[in-house]
Order: sequence, then C-alpha cells, then structure tokens
Amino acid sequence: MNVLICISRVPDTATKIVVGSDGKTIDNQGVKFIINPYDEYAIEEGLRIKEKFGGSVTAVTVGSEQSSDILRTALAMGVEKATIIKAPEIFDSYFVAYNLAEYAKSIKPDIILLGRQSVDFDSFQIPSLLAGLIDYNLVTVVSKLTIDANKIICERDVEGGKEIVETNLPCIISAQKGLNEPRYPKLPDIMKAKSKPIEILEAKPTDLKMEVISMEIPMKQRIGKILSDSDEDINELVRLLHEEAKVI
Amino acid sequence: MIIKTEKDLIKPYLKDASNYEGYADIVYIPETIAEIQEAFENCIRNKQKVTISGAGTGLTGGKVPEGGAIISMEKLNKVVDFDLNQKTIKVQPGITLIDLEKFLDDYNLFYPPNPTENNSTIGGNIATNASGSRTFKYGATRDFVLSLELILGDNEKVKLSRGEAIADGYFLKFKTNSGKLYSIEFNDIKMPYTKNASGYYLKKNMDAIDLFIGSEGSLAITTLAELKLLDKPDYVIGGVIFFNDIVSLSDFVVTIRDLSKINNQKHYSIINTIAARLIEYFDSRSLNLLKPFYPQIPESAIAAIWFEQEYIKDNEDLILNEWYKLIDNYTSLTQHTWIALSDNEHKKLAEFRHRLPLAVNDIISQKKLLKIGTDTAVPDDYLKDYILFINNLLTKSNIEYAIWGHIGNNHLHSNLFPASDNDMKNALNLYDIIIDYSLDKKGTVSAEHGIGKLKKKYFYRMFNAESIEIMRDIRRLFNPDNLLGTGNIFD
Ligand SMILES: Cc1cc2nc3c(=O)[nH]c(=O)nc-3n(C[C@H](O)[C@H](O)[C@H](O)COP(=O)(O)OP(=O)(O)OC[C@H]3O[C@@H](n4cnc5c(N)ncnc54)[C@H](O)[C@@H]3O)c2cc1C
Ligand SMILES: Cc1cc2nc3c(=O)[nH]c(=O)nc-3n(C[C@H](O)[C@H](O)[C@H](O)COP(=O)(O)OP(=O)(O)OC[C@H]3O[C@@H](n4cnc5c(N)ncnc54)[C@H](O)[C@@H]3O)c2cc1C
Repeated sequence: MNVLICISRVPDTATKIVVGSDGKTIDNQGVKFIINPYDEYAIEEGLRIKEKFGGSVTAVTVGSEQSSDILRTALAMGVEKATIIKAPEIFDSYFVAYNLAEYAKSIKPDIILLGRQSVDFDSFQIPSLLAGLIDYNLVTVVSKLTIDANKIICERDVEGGKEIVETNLPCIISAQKGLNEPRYPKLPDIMKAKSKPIEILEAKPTDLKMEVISMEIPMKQRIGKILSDSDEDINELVRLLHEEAKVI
Repeated sequence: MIIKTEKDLIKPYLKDASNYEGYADIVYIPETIAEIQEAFENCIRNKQKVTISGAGTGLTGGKVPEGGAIISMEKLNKVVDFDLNQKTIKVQPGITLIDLEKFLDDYNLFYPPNPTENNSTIGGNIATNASGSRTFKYGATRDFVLSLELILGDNEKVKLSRGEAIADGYFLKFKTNSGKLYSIEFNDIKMPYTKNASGYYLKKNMDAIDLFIGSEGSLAITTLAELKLLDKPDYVIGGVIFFNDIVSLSDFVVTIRDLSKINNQKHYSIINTIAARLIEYFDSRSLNLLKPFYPQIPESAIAAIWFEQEYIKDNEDLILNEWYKLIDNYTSLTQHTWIALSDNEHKKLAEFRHRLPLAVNDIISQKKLLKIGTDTAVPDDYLKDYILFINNLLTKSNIEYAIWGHIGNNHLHSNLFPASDNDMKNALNLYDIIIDYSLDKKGTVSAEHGIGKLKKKYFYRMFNAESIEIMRDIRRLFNPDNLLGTGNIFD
C-alpha cells in the first residue's frame, strides 16, 4: 500500500505571534517552526499502515525550501521519501491543494493522509479541496482507522458520540488527535535523516482564490466568571470563594 | 486583610506536601506589606508563634504550624517592578514559579532555578534555597537573588542587596532601616561540598543576604525579592537515553557531568560539543511506573538519563554528533534514544518527567502505601559509588521504591513506599543508612527540600554541637523570642 502524507509547517504553538508591518502576514523574525501537530498523527498512521501492509511512505509539503526541517523530522520518524513543492511567497489554500493534487496524480498513492487542520490558518480546507481535485473518497477528522482488505473503517468524534464511516481505496483521511500516539524521533534516525535527499519540485501557479485583507492579534480575554442568582449558582459562588479564591 | 479563625477555614493551611499536619488559632492573609507588618506585630504583642505559609508544596513540614498564627502570602503574588534592560524583576513573595514564567515568556526571558513543583512560591523557594534540574548549569535559588526586603524576627526592617554587606572573614555586620546594628561572629563551619538546603549558610567572606536564603522562615519574613533573569536560549536539545547496565550509566554520567562543567564556562553560542544544562536520572522502578503510559520504553532498559543542552542552530549537527558518539560508547540501547528539538517535543519529555510523581501517587493510593524520600547529595568524587550503593541497598530490601533525581548534582531522591508499620521501620532504617553514607562522604542530608520540622534529627547529625550553637545564637539575635518559624531546622 502506497501512502502519501501531506504536512504543513506552522509556527511552534509556544511562539508569540507578531503581525508583520504590512498588517497582513505573520512576522517570521525569531519564530520557530514545527510540523503541524495534527500532521504528526497522519505521519504515525502512515508508518503503521506501511509496517502492516508493506509499500512506501512519502511526505510532501508545499512551501519554501526552509520546509526541509519538518521533512527531516518526518524522515527521522521513518518516512522514506520527502518532497518540497516550492511555492511563491504568497499563496492560498487552493494553491496548496492544487499542487498537492498534481503531485498525487503523479505518484498515485492508495491512501493520502493529512491533519484535520493546519494550526496556522485553521481553514480546514485542504483535505476537501484535494478530494475534489483528484476524485478520491474522503473522510475527515478521523480518530480511529481500521483497514481490512479494501475496506476502510473510520471512527469520527461527533457531538455526544461516535460516527462510524466505511469507504474504500483510494481515499483521503484527515487525522484527529487521538488517532494514535506519534513515535518519538530516535537519535540514530535523526542523524540518518540529516543526510537523506529531499526532492524539490517547482509549484504550478494558480490564481489566488482568497486574499488576506488584514490580520490582527485577538484581544486578551478577561478571566471572569459570570454567575446568575439561581440557588445553584449561589452555592457555586460560595464554593469558588472558599476553594479557589480562599477569601471566605 | 482577611483573617480566618474558624476551624474549618484554617484546616487547609495546616499541612504541606509531606502530609505532616499541625494546628493553629488564626490565619492572616495580608494584601500589602504594611498588613504583613500589622499581622506580625499582633503576634509579637500576643507572644504568639508565627509560621509563614507559601504554597505549601514543601516536603519537610516547614510551613506547618505547631500552634499560634499563620501568615499566608497567597495574596502577595504580584510583579512589582521589571527592568527589561537590566534583566531583573522585583516580585512579592507569594508569586508562583508558573506565574513568573508566564510573565517572562512575553519578554523571552527566564528565571533559571526550576524546582519541579512550579506551583511553589518565590518566598518558599528562597526560604528553602530551592533548586531544580537546571541547577546543574545555573546554580540554586541563592544564585539568582539580587536583593531582599525583610522583616526580621525582632520586627526590624531591612533591605539587603547582594554585594553591600560582605563579611570580613568570619565577621558579618549590617544595619537595618532604623539604624540597628547586627554583628555576628562565627567560626569555620564545615559546609558540605554539595548544593545544600540544611542549616544557615555560614561561609568565610559571605554576603549577609545569603544568611537569609535557606533560613526556612526562622530568621525573617521575605516581603519582596529582586531576582536576576537570563535571556532564553535560542535552541535546546533534549534527550532520554536508556541503559541496560548501571555501571555504564554511572560512567556515562560522570563523563558528561565533567565535560559539561568545563564546557559550560563558555557561552552556549560558541559551544559545538557536549555541555548539558541538566542531567536527570530515572531508575528501573521509575521506568516500570512509567511503562504503562510509555510503551516505547525499551523492555531491557534498567535506567534512563534525561539531558538538555542549549545551542545555536548552526551547531546542531555537530552537537548531536558528539552526543551520538558518546552515547553509543556507553549503552547498547542507543537506537532507542529519544531526542526533542522543537518546543512541542520538549513538552512531551517534560510530560514524561512530570508523569512520574503522578504515577507514584497513583500506586500509593491504590495500594495504600506510605512514602518517605531522601534528599541527600554527595561531592563529585563519590557519584559513581553513590549510584551503585543506593541501587544495591534498595534492590535488596523488600519495600517498594523508586529512585530519581538531579544526578548531575550528585543528588538523588530515594523514594520508599512502605506498606505497613513494620515496613516503615525498615524504611527508616534504610533512610538512616543513606544519611550515614552521605555524611561519611561529606555530603548533605538535605540538598534542596530543607530541614523543616521533619528532618531535624538528621540536621543534628550533620553539624557538630559547636556549629549548631553558633546557628542557635544567630537565631536568638534576629528572633529573640523564637516566635518566627518556631520548630524549623532546630529547636
Ligand atoms: C487566504 C490565505 C492566504 C494565505 N497566504 C499565505 C502566505 O502568503 N504565505 C504562507 O506561507 N502561507 C499562506 N497561507 C497558508 C497556506 O496557504 C497553507 O494553506 C497553510 O499552511 C495551511 O493552511 P490551511 O488552513 O489551508 O490548511 P488546512 O486545510 O487547515 O490543513 C489541513 C491539512 O492539510 C495539509 N496541509 C496544509 N497546508 C499544507 C501545505 N502547505 N503543504 C502540504 N500539506 C498541507 C496538512 O496535512 C494539514 O493538516 C494562506 C492561507 C490562506 C487561507
Ligand atoms: C512534586 C514535588 C516536587 C518537588 N520538587 C522540588 C525540586 O525539584 N526542588 C526543590 O528544591 N524542591 C522541590 N519540592 C519541594 C517544594 O516545592 C520546595 O521546597 C518549595 O521551595 C516550597 O515552596 P512553597 O511556596 O510551597 O513553600 P511552603 O511549603 O509553603 O513553605 C516552605 C518554607 O518556606 C517558608 N516561607 C514561605 N514563604 C516565606 C516568606 N515569604 N518568608 C519567609 N519564609 C517563607 C515557610 O515558612 C516554610 O518554612 C517539590 C515538591 C513537590 C510536592
């Protein structure tokens, strides 16, 4: 079974985000980048599929050559082949999906794994756009995946319960937290990954379907609690004052 | 100021993390320094004992009152002044480490001493000279305290800034705000050749401020502290290395400890070889406790070392290579070494470390066990011997245990979990043997938790009668009626 994993390079979740002077982009100065955390589940799942069924695992990202750092992490985890599709400075989700689709057409994977969302722009678009462009089956936000011959059984978390969805190959799966426990990169594998080749392809241009008009940092939320005058809430207030605020 | 006198409301203040429980008549919760003063003056007037309470994460009963009043610092938890250029911060004593860290994150600065329990307060940390994993590179709380505002046990107020009141040999003097002069003459007290949290700090040519750091709330109340900060390092490598042989592990630790000590004298930006900022140990029992949560732990591992090193990106490959070569020389489990490079990966290693005390608490409550823990450290020369000695001693016993700790500072916690009173007797016996061992090697009975009320017996063994008498005189000088911190360190 051949697996393609699409990974996105995002600012480290611990990084303090500063909006650039143009008011439309993130100021990259001093920002550290990591693999989109949801994509780690996609990588782990891809490796497990390969370990079980054989085949190959490729990781691809659309971005600048600096994205080689996240691909090296993917290689250290056990991915065999890594590709950067080199993008211009400004691009949108459609551009990413279009180029992923073109790449997928060229290598014809049986299964494509992505994260449920990229924690930078959070647009949740790529998996769906990609499925539309290459006409694969799609199941999003999957928290459990079972492959039984050609049958793919997916569990999805839905409000108050679980939804079980069945589909078949070829298909696209986007990963939810809990799908698996991603392995830690091991020292010898990190060292080996450093000398593995990374393929660099030129992206095909597309028209921009979306444009960022402006960007701003959300206001800090006040940490207050609003309680009503119901009996329950009065008891709660007493409890909070006693146990949390320790004032009574 | 909030004042609590009802039994139910006082109860939460009577214990610390050692579970030792005391009793008290009143809790004062001042919101200003003037209110601390007011509370303290009330106590002096009523000849009432006073115990200062931080977050209560202490492990030796230091904040546990044995009667009288409690002054709790919980409301005095603010940043008072912050100087980004000088990299200094003035804080009230009740600020927790976690809140301080959050504040500093925005400025890309950090406060290096990091006791594992980050709900503890700066006031408590200063009182116990707390230390943490990064103490290996940076030192303990003491090394980052620039000035203190204190209310002494006799109700005098003083601000001590580092460098302003230095002893002339063994003769120390300083004046309070009101002009009262204190002079202390002491002898050469044998301080251990290790980091230390037992007894008053008394060294030739010492700084007066150091006397109060580590004095466990028995000489003065800290009302304000000025701390030194550092720029956060560009990058940090973290790793967990597994071993299947304890002798190789000991040799490995001694090697990286000594290399790091030399290399850490240079700034990390010019280091392209091994220079750990922390070296921590997990024994086989600790790994067994962690295995249910971390099936990745290799089956044959009998111990693990966690390290971290600061670096700049350009040197990443060279440094990783050096670690790789060295690790491969000492363990056959190299291929299992976990490495963290991104903050996200570091968080996972930190969770691994934090899972351990939780896992311990789980088995203690499941199996209804008790718990006692050593806090001994030995001088550099004895580290290998110490590791082997403790492992041998405890494997032979039939009490459950787990050993972990700041091995880079030759400092291990042997945590014993006796199941019965009889077990407890045996555990205390083992505890005594470990204390004897470290005293024999000129180490300390408490490297970071302090003596409090629970380890006085060991304090009396660590210092001779003459040294204890000097400490007692000092206590009388600042705290003439012995109302403040009564029962801490020595009677
Ligand atoms: C209007 C707009 C403008 C943008 N402008 C820029 C810009 O100027 N510069 C810039 O760097 N980025 C820009 N981006 C972000 C970029 O286009 C990618 O879409 C972004 O990295 C992922 O965002 P997403 O929210 O669309 O992905 P989602 O749909 O939330 O991501 C889901 C999954 O898709 C996969 N995926 C996402 N992005 C990539 C990728 N790049 N390569 C491979 N797989 C991927 C991952 O598996 C991810 O978990 C822009 C995005 C938008 C919406
Ligand atoms: C899970 C766990 C892990 C721990 N790990 C470490 C570790 O790695 N390193 C370490 O050093 N310790 C560790 N500790 C012990 C504890 O966190 C430290 O001793 C800490 O310094 C106590 O701070 P606190 O605010 O909780 O003080 P408390 O327990 O409230 O008080 C401790 C002492 O400080 C005195 N005190 C508090 N505030 C003041 C003040 N303003 N003026 C004068 N005296 C004052 C008290 O009277 C008492 O004697 C750990 C504890 C736990 C539970």
